[in-house]
Amino acid sequence: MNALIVSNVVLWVLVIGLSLAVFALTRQIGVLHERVAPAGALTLSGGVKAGETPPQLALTTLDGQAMTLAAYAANGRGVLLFFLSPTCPLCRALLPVVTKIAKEERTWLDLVFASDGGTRDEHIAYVAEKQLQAYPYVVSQELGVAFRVGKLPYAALLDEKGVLVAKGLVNTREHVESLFEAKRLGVSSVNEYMSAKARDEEVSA
Amino acid sequence: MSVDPVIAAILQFGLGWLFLASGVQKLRRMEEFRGIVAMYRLLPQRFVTTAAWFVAGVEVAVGLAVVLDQRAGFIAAAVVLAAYAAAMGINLARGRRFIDCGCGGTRQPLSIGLVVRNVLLSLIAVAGLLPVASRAIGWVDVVSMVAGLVVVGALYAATNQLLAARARLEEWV
Repeated sequence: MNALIVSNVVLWVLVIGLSLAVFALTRQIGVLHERVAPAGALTLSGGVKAGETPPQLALTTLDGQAMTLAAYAANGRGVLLFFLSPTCPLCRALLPVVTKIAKEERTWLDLVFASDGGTRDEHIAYVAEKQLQAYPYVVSQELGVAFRVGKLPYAALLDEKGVLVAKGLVNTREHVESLFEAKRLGVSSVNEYMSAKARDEEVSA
Repeated sequence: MSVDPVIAAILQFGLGWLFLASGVQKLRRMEEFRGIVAMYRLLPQRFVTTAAWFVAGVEVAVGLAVVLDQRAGFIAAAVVLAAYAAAMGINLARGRRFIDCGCGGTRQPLSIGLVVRNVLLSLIAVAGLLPVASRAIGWVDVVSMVAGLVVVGALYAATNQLLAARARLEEWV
């Protein structure tokens, strides 16, 4: 009987150790996913994919006007969605870049600011401080989730038909420009570009 | 058919802890949870705040009832878990898989794996209604119970992490 009890206790200790090890491993998989996520204007994961039309959400701008993304496509206009937060320093630094690009591309493109959190007052103060009154500014958690905005600043480019061309984390002017480059080249992200390149190399090797 | 007291205790405390932990987390992050309830799009917008508070309150109440070994607690637990499975199933069928499941722990989109998980949990709650066999309880049983709870908790958390990791892998470009 004693031998059985001892063996039982020993086994429990081992099973606990093993299950904690399994837990730690699964946790590390999660952490690795976050770390490996490529830097740059890369698609992190999920949400609307390039080539798809984003879900039609009824949005309200900060000044209380109803809007949808589909309305832009109906008028044959593209949209650059720029996700930001008043507390994000990089977003602040990129504001002049995106507004300049929007001016350069104004023949076919409208700029829309979006945020998925924070209080209304914060956003109103931010718009006043940064003089963004000329652009629609939407606060919507649902929109952020639809595009799976994981890290800020984040941008998504919709073409004149309302189809998502490219989206991703943008940290520099080059990253924002890469979205437009994607439209020109017909690739949706650096991830896709890299895997296409790898395939080409395999074929030629 | 009756259940051994050790297994019954693991089931009872495991289920009770699950409900208490998730209810308290929802109460502490009510603003976020409100957004999640809204995104499920099962209720008119004006009921969302009430529903979010109600769901979180029910979870805490069910958790307490289960820990205190009330039959009603197990029935309610099974119903709540099945309702979550149904809510996720409805949104999956609508193609709204991108919404946050709101199932605690890591953020993850809806998946069939989560529906299966909730159906299994619901069946486990039903199993809590089975009569418990009576026998003398020794210290070995206490060891088994405590160790069993630790293992069940770790494996449940690992399952959730794996489901979240799988969702991310599927979305990898």
